[in-house]
Amino acid sequence: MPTTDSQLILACVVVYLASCAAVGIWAMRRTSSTADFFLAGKSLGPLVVVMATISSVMSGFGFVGGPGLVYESGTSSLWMVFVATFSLPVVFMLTGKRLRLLVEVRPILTLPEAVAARYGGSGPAIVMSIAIVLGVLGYLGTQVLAIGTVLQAVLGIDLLVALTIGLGVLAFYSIAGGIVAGVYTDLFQGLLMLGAAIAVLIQCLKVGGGMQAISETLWAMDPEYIGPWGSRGDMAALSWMLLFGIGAAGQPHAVTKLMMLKDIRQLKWGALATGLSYMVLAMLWMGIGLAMRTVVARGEHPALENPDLAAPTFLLQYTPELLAGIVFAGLLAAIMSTADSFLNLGAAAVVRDIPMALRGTPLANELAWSRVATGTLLLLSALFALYMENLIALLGTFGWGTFAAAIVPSVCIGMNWKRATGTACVASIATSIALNFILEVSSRHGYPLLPPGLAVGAVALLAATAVFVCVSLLTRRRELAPDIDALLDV
Amino acid sequence: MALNNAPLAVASAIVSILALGAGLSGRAGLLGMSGVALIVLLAAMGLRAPGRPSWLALGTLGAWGVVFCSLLALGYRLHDPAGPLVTIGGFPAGTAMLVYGTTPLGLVLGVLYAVAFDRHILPLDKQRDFLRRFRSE
Repeated sequence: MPTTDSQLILACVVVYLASCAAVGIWAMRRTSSTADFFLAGKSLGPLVVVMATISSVMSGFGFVGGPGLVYESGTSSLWMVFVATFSLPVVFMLTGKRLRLLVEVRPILTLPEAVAARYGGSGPAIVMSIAIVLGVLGYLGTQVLAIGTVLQAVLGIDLLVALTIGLGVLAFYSIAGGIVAGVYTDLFQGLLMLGAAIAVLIQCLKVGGGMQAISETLWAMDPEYIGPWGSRGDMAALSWMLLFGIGAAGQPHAVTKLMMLKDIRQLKWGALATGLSYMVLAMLWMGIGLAMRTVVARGEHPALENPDLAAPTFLLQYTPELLAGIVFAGLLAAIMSTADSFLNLGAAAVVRDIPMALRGTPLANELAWSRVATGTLLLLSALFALYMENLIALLGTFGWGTFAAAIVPSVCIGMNWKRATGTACVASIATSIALNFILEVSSRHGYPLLPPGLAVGAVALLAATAVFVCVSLLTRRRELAPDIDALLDV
Repeated sequence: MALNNAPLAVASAIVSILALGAGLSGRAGLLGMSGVALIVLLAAMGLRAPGRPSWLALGTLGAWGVVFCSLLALGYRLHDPAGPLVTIGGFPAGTAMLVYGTTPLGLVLGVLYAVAFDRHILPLDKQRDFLRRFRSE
């Protein structure tokens, strides 16, 4: 693990951690109800929503795992990230208008509540909450580990101490400030990283001697690596395109951000702004991975022990200190704000969605319980991350695919097709959880059931979509409430 | 007027099954093309609105899908790992289709959403009418 003794990088990270605590205090003053805690009181402007959407999707995986994947297998993983230019606009097309209008006419704070309103009955909301809790646990565990890894690299301290510092700050601002703290950290991180991504890309080209020279080096090493599909081949690249291109519309931490917008008319330019911003951030994903592999292929740097070290190594050894400090601070912000979004989603599922579905009424003292649930989830995920790393890795992989396969049919198609039924919603979510889990476990234990390269999540998404439509056509639809009926006609 | 997206929903199920078959039988190219078709069908469900024909928007979406598939096909055609390196803008020719082609092409959907928003996606009078009927102050 590379570590730094640079005072400037250290200062950037310390300033960032202190500003997180300040954001937590400020957000706590703005959080007086459950609506504030979970939906930021539906008071966010377009810039905050755009930055919060791209930041929560990018996360630690994007800034650490993404360059690592490029370092390991070349252009294959670019099919995950470059598709965001259209996948994020598709999120707006499928969910933006109706979800935002729905929260205007009903007291809805979460996605399972929106599903309950759309289909009626408790079944759809309960299975949706279960899918969300499962996905959240996995994602949270990976974010917690990422916080520890980055702080360990910057501070040069033991993993346990790094985790304690990082989680302490995260616990303070997420318990105190709820989603308000998260979205404003997203704004800070998004703006910082947009500027830093361009600067880092320029640095990557400088280190590699220009794109032509990088391509020549990597082509000589392995033409497939820098070819259109990367070392993992066309099946992996194109199934990732499908999973990430459509699956973004099923990520609850992105979809719920659209429900927080103050004025629904501001959705108009949001689709283009999110796609464009994400395209700029993707340069960091691509640039670092290719530049790091180039210096290794030329023998200018020893091979990395672990592909995930590509980003920290490049930043510490090949970028100016101030830029590295800014990117490290942005990186921590990305991880923490995503963790905050997931803590929020998980707490909402436990404290609001499941009790509402089972009892029909919310818990008394809901805001206090939400804070308790946030703290408990954080503690659980830290314990998971420290003692059950294998389970975390499994749940982390399982997370995106489960969200995509569970939410795309039931929310994205269901909000645009009146004939969709609650039974179909339950069946498609159950299909997505079962397929993701069985295929992932079998592949991890050396019994792959799918052809090489084919992404598990893509198979689950396609199967859940087919199940959703077929079961809808075969089952009787409940009478829709007048507002839902009218909503689907807007 | 009621919105009937049933044909698009059924088409999405058929294309999903086709894509599943393509993936399971190892036909990556067919998986990619059917994946693009599925994206177009889902986006069309989101763009359509009752009583507001949006043929230009839907036509643009269809054309977007055709161009995207063509770029995928070009990626296959231009990539020759056994031959010498041919670059476009610094990237190998096949990879350039991804970096300079499909990536910025995605932004067309964002532009389409913005252009269609006031007239087709959410006209102000429809929004006001819905909120007037159902919002409890």
